[in-house]
Amino acid sequence: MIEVRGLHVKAGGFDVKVERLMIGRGEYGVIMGPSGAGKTILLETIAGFWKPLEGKIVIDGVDVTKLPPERRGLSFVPQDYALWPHLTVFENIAYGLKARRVPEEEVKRRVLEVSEVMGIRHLLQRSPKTLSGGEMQRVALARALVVEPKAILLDEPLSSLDAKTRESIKDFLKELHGRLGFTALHVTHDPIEAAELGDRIAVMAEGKIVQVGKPSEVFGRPESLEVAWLTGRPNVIKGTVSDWRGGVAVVRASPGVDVVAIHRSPLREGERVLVFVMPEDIVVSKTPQQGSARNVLELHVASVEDKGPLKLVKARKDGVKLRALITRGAYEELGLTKGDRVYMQFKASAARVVPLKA
Amino acid sequence: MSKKAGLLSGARNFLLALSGFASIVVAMLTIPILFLALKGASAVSEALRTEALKAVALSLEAGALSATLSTIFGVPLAYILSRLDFKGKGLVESILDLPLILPHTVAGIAVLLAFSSRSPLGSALTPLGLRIEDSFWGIVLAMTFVSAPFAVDFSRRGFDSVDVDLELVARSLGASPTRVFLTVSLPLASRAVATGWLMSMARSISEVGAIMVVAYHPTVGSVLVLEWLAIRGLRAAAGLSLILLVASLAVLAGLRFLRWFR
Repeated sequence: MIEVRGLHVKAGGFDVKVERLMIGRGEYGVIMGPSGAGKTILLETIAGFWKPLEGKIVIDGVDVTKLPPERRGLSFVPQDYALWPHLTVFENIAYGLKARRVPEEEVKRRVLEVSEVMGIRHLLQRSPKTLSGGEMQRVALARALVVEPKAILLDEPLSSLDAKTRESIKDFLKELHGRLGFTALHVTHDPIEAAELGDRIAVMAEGKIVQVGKPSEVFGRPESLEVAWLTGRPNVIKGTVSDWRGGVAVVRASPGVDVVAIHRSPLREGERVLVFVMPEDIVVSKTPQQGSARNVLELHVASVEDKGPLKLVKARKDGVKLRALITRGAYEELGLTKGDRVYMQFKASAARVVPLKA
Repeated sequence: MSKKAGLLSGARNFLLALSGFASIVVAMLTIPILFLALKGASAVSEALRTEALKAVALSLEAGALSATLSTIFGVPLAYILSRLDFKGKGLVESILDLPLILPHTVAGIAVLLAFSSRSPLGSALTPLGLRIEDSFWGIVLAMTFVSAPFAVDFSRRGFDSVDVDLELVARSLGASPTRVFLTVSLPLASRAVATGWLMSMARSISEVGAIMVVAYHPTVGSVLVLEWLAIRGLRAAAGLSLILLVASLAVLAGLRFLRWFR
């Protein structure tokens, strides 16, 4: 369990103040916020790399605020993984065990065991310099988990991977956490990543935590405009699964409004979910268009805002709110004004379903 | 081909001008060495006497010892300078630059004043057999004074290039600061530390001024060259110089090897 109380830390040009943050044992906690919010500083302070001016950090009931990093029992995984280039993959993973003076035989057994779990057993004799991004990520996780830490701290672990690897590592992390039940604290700027992985999400902005809660609370009931803005970069539609067949889900957002989305793993009927759609993936028109978009929602324009060279069109109907980014040209062609009826369309592959955890 | 190759494409006249100036520098460095090699080769058989070989061996021995001392004591300083910010850091850095700008004879006078058997420090060391006037230890001390900055500077650059995250991760996985230094920082900076050792070895062998002031005897190679030039003439000095040149080239080869062997 990670507990942060009344923390104040000034480091690297950041001023971070956290009244209270608690991640329960076995929970997957996510700190989400834009870059410059001070997320990494908070994580590194918990790891013991920065000295706080005030406050307490308690790990499994022990006040570790004054302890050096090596005595906190936390494994830190930095953004670029920081695998040691002069050691083999095996030696990298074994490092923490050797530092704890675990007997040679047991080191070998545990390294083999964890690399089996991570699917990297064939890489053990390789140099980290020869690994792909996804492989490095798995080695870094193996190195962190093999010491059986009280919690693992992950700093933007998916941000330096290409899109495809990111998806597979994200699924892997989710599955691994479900299987091993370790306590994790994961920093990210990506709301979708936060929703998919987090049991508990702390939304952070300008050095402060502005809301903590389950994904359904943070996304469904943002407590402030700030949180709404931070969590609301993608459109978030709450709904219930009404059908799932062959990788395609139908989600009922409100009576008469269904959203079709690609979702590979099975969903139960009646399961409560969030659907994420990026504003730039939505096409706006005044008449329903023929095309490949599976979703055509009829809404009313609530407002139009300038977003640099683009226009953000907000529209709603029956509790369903969508925001779409369109070009200035398209906006002028459409001649939208408040109250107009519009059709917002997006492909099933542009919609992402995230099941809500109970 | 790297992108840099495109930078000067189609700039024929500019390239010609650059090459003209560049070749003058290269020629200025190689021509004297060629002359030394030619002149020295004819005299090298006469130079190969016990006196000369002893002097060159002494240069190498004292040079290796002073480079080793500079490295052993310089590496911790290099690590501190790379990793910590503290009051007076600028002062320490300036002190390290001092031997590089000081005339070497002046450096010798300073060492002599501080450590001669008549000084308080020297009189404390003399009973331990560490008398510096005209002794092996005097040579080592003079060499160390002028060469230590090289060991520190190269090692520091090595530590600077080691990402702090590599060390912090090791800490978080349970390693003490000492363990992190020995198993992560030092191995990753080892090439730079080795380069620093070689550079300070090279600097030690080439030292004349400070050694002449502190310990003219026993005679090291570089001092003997001066002596022969004065007593036995240019030809004899060239023969001995060639032997020293070969020793220096061996150090240069070591440096190339470190750069190439990645």
